Amino acid sequence: MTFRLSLGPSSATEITVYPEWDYGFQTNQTRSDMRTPAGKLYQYNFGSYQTFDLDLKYVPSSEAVVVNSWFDSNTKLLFFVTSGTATEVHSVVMMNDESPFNQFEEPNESLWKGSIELGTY
Amino acid sequence: MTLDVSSEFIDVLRDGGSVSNRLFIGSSDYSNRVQSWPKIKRKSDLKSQSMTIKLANHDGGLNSFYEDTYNSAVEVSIELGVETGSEGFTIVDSDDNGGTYLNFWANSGHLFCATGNNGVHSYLYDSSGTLEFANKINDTGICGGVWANDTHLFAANGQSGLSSYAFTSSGNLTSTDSNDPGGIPSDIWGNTDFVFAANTSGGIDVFSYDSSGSLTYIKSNDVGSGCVDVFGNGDDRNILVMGASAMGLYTGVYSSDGTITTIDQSCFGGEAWGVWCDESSIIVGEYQGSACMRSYTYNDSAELTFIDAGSNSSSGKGVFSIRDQVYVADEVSGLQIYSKDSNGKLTFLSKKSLSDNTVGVVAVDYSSPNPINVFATNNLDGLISGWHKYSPEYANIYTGDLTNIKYRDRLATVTTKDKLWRLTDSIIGTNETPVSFTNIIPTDIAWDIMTCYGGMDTVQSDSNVDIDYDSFLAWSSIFSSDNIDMSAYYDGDKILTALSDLAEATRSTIWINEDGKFEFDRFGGITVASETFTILEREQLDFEVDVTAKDAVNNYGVNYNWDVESSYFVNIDYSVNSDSVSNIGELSENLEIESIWYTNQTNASLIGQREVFLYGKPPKVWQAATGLVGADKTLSQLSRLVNSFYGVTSADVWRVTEQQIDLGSGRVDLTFDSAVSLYGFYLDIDSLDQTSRFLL
Repeated sequence: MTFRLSLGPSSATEITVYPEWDYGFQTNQTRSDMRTPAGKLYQYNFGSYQTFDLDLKYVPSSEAVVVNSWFDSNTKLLFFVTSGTATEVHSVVMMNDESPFNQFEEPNESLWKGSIELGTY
Repeated sequence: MTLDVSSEFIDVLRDGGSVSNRLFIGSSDYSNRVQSWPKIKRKSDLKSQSMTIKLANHDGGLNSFYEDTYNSAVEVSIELGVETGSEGFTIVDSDDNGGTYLNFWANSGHLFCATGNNGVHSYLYDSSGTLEFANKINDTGICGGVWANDTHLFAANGQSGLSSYAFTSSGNLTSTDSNDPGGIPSDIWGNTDFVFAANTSGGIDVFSYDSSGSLTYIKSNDVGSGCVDVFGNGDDRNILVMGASAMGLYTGVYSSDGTITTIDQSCFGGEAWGVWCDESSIIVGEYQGSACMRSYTYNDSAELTFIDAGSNSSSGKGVFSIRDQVYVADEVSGLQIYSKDSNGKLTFLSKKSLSDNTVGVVAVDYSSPNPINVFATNNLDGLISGWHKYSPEYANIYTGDLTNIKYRDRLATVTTKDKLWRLTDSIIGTNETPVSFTNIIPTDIAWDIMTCYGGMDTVQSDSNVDIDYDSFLAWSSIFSSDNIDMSAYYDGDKILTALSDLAEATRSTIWINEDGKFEFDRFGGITVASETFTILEREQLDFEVDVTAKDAVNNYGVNYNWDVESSYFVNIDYSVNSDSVSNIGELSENLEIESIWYTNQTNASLIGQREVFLYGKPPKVWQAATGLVGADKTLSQLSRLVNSFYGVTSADVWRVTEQQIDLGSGRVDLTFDSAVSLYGFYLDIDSLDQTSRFLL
């Protein structure tokens, strides 16, 4: 069964990413927990969102430049998670504080390393 | 229960669960822009409560409020939403007037059905879901689909082409025209310019029509090898979605001459059958594939992005979506119900097994908290009308006016105020033309103040948009049964001051409820039967007792018979609680309001006796914080508390005098006053000797 991760402004302009094995997918809740002195818990879930952390190595310049340009322009992206014939599509933006790819994969000067932090909106 | 919601809604407020608030400015939903949800405060001091809400304005979507300031004065409402789960589909009515019910169009109380070789059927339906058959017309051909505007119904009549019918408000149909360019149209959709017919032997046929229903064939557009359904997004992007059986789903754009340019296509394992779309998403019924329907989004260029598939069954035909609920008529397994989130992701909710050949579905929206009225078909019952309870369920929790909006750092800060602010600058009477009321029931004075001088709605029914009329009638009946009359004189008084004085003189409370309407109650009313709300110790996030000795009163003088000409009170009536005096010494206070006054000793005495009894002991004020279940309370409502340390048991009844609902955390702070509950006794006026006495 194939497993593929890809990212792009649309399905026509996506690029495939190959993260390291420590990549992480998380669902986060916007939640209020209030416990009374007597022990009752009021827990209200107001919503949830997902974050995806992808560490990448050996990314060619052609793709690193594209990803950095998405970061520079705050581009809204689609993150495709394909497993077999099923594809999950997430509407995401980059949550990085700085350009995703800003270090060479030494000694190569045409390959880059970095991380992409995505959050759904 | 105060909120008009289901018991499941209250269960979530009490026990926790998924909560989703909504903010409307005017009729637009700005919920997704809210940075933090506000605290809603309600007090009975007749001061306008304001609150601010920060909204994201990253895209300038809120700029219209300053660009067109005429439209900036709009109503703001906040709803509390709760995921109550789905109760599925409940059938309330069915009808069968022959033929095979294949497809529908619902239109402002009219429901039109395509019934195969039995033509078109016209029904009326009401908000309870009850069906009333009006009439039918059986032209030649197999009628597979219908669409209607406000005056005419258009039907795809198979080999006979397209037909149009005029319909009356009672649903009676009259044939107006027909047009057969060839092929077999199976379903149709239209807008103000065109009617588009999905032709199984071609693609999409385009017709124009005039106000009398006359059809003009314009052209045919090849799409796939023929289409079975067509639907449009209805906006000026002119986008169509088309179900083309084994060729899958198509999107296209039509031009002013009726030419359709196909843009995108998605093939999947099964056949694309029914299609539906709104401004950004598409649902397509999938027949004999791996799912019963698929969800897509599309961009301004009509390019498709597949999002999700509903795989609980695999024989989907008709589809319809409303309020993010997706209804699929599955030919084999009946009605399938999914929810759809803002990204198009699907979640299966429930299904309703109907007999074989469920092919058509349409849904009608009623405003929250009503469920959705769904019409579906099956071979056994023909046309079925039923309810699907909408989830999340919403309850109105605040209604006010947008009074200010500020823009900074791509944030828009909205200030809202409740309806009291409209009265802040209004006055009653002037020195030259004073307004006076003589010996009338005080609630009539309040009505005139609010309507004649405050500009509030004068309608005397529950359709009054400013005043909760049922509450007003209940408030009025208390004074009516006690035969209480008052006089008043206003020569430039502010309306809010006049209302506040009236409330103080009558020991009433007036506040703005969740619907933005004035609501009334008289503190100390004897009605206690409806209180069912107990905040157990376990449910208290915080608990505080406040007793202030100076709040006690045991010698109360009520001034009455104000002489307007000489500006003095002619009489005063003193009521004394001698037990209280001997215990804590004399604490005197007078009621001395020159704008409104009692006109006889009996009425003055009544209020004095009440005051020294209630405030003879320093009153206790309890403050308890609880979860969102406290949102289901309103001011002046009687409630019970339990707190073992302070010896408070559920036998005691307290009255809510303040409420603060924190929509961001779900914490609700309630203030209860012991002195205004008057539970366990009531004041009786003996009509024979006009004396007052307590019944204990």
